[in-house]
Amino acid sequence: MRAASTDGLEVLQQPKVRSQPAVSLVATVRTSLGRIPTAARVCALVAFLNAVCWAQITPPFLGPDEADHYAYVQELVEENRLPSSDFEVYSPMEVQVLTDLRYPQVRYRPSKQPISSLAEQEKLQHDLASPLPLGGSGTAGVATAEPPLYYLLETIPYKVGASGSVLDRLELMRLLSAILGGLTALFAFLFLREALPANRWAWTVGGLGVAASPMLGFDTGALNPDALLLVVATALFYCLARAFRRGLTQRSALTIGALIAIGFLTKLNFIGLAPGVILGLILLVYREARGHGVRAYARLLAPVLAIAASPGLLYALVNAFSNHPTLGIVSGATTSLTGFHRSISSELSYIWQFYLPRLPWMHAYFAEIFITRQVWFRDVVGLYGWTDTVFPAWVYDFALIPAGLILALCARGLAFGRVQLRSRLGELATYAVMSVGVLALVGATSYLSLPVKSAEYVDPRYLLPMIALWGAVLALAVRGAGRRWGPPVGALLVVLLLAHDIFSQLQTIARYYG
Amino acid sequence: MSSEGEHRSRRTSTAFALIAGLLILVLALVVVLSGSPVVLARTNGVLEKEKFAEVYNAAGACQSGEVLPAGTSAIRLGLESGVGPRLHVTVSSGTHTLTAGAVGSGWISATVTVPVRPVSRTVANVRVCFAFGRTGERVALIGSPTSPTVAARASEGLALPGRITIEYLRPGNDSWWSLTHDVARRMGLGRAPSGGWIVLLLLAFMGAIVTVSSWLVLRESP
Repeated sequence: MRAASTDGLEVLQQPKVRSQPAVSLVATVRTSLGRIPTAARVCALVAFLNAVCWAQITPPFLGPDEADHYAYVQELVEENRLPSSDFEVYSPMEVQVLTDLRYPQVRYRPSKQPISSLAEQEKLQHDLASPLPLGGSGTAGVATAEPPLYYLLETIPYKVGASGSVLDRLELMRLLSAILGGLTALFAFLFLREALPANRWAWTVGGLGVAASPMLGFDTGALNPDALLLVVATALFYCLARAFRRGLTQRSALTIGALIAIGFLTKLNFIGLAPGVILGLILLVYREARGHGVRAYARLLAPVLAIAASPGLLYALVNAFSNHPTLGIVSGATTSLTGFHRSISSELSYIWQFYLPRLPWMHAYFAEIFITRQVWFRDVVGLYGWTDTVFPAWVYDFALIPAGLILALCARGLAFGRVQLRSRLGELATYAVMSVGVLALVGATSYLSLPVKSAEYVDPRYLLPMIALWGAVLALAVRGAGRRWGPPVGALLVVLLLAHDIFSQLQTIARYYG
Repeated sequence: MSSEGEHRSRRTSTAFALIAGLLILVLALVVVLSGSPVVLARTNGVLEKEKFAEVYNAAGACQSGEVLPAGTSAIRLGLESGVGPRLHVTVSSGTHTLTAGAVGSGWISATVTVPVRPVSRTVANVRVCFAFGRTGERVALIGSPTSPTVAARASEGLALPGRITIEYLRPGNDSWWSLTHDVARRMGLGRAPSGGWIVLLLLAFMGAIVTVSSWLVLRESP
């Protein structure tokens, strides 16, 4: 900081060296990047390449809600406005391309495939070159309710590809998501380095496990705000772990505040992570206050909360002045909660059963099903496309073996470090509340679809904001294998995770092109 | 053992585990790609036009006038559900059950595939019945509206407003290896940039992922 301010003073006195602050900034960035371990960079590269592979495998617009996300960006660029309706009525050009790609027939239906003949390809090429309007629908389906930050970022590749076709633009936009996927793996590695500082080998295995995750590749290989949400969520895990280990400085507190603000501006699902992050901040500031007095609250907590809350306040203000419900769709959710004879206790019971077996006193929302195993485990092992691409049933049974071994080794790793765990209860509580927040949000949103659907948001990608913790599970499993067996077990885990990714890609290829 | 010797021993075991794991991976790929994809043996010709009925809680239905092709190993039904209930399918001719199969709860999407015992010969004019387990979820029947005389019938015998789409699947004759060219050609369509070379790019990227991951494992191994 001192060097930067010195450079700034020189700018005023000596116009000739005007480029020095820029040079200094570049040097600072270069130094910071240089401090990133090679292993972290390799993990980022693996995650990026993996997402690019998934972008090539997943047919255009068949990523999750991709047509809606594209419509959002298109509306921003072509009409300079946010979409205002959640209908799936796209621009004439997008409709034509979706029709040519057989999008309506293919999604949700594993028996249907995208175009497969040269005649269909020629028709598509012809329509892509036609002068159909690119914007103007004002609608973006389910994406309409989402905050605009990710979509604003995606306007850059959209404009870069302006001379190309809709498909060229989509490909460039997917590439930006893939870069964000790489950043997610980078932060996951850095999180593991802070959270498990004594075991360098475990960071590598955990980092590669995150990077080669097929679900991360699938999600960040598509145009979807999840890509930015995952970067923010994983960066928050890293910043919190760093602060718990090294202490909360004003700089790190402001970084966390900025990440919270970015999260709120990225995707509504971030709301689930926020309580845990705030809890972590409070615990960290409390710890600082014990050493530096109560002024730490004003110095550290107040500015963070102000920055973090600013997008929400801005959102409420914009809504208030534009005659929309003050809290936007959150207002709608509150109304839904009070309708249909719902209650907080039944909602809590539902959320529990959304993930775990029903307890004896609970009303049954899901009959004759072990939802943890039959739905969530299956989905985490492999559910791609429009929830229409799955492995053969035996794969999910077989997967119980490695999953059980990983969990057993992880439990052993935790047992090894139980003494340290006691001193890190606050940190663990923070991660736990962040995770429970994400799970509760998805469950609560699904609860709103009752009674029409018993579970609408059963999709593993909603759990991806916790992917840093998946890295931690793998890292702990390596630790649990012990000093002698840890290295070969780690190597086998990496191969297992690569195999999971490769076979997931093959299954998706078989579904769309087989 | 000295510290240096211990270190060398751990690195050797890591390299051995990595190589063994990669060999098993290659072997598994060869086995899987030597298998045949499941192919469509026949459809009942009913278009997936609309959701024409919804059933709830342990209901079921039957549809007559179907043809069960020889070798059918799975039946795909036009059913949609968020978290689908247990589903039991029987195919019968008169009072004789030709084949049957079931899937557990939790299926999703707009179709459900039920594995069944293959039959040796094609049988015409069979009746396909499906019964759901108890569920809190509605299940939509997807197909086309028809007249009551040919429509599917609910368990109680009541005519539903249409027939559901049914596809009969069997193992194909060609291995994935022999289909490589066709799959590559299809992957190159409907995207930008287009062309079968995309598969080579994909192979190069996946190869790079495996290579740099293996390099990192060997480099960072304690």
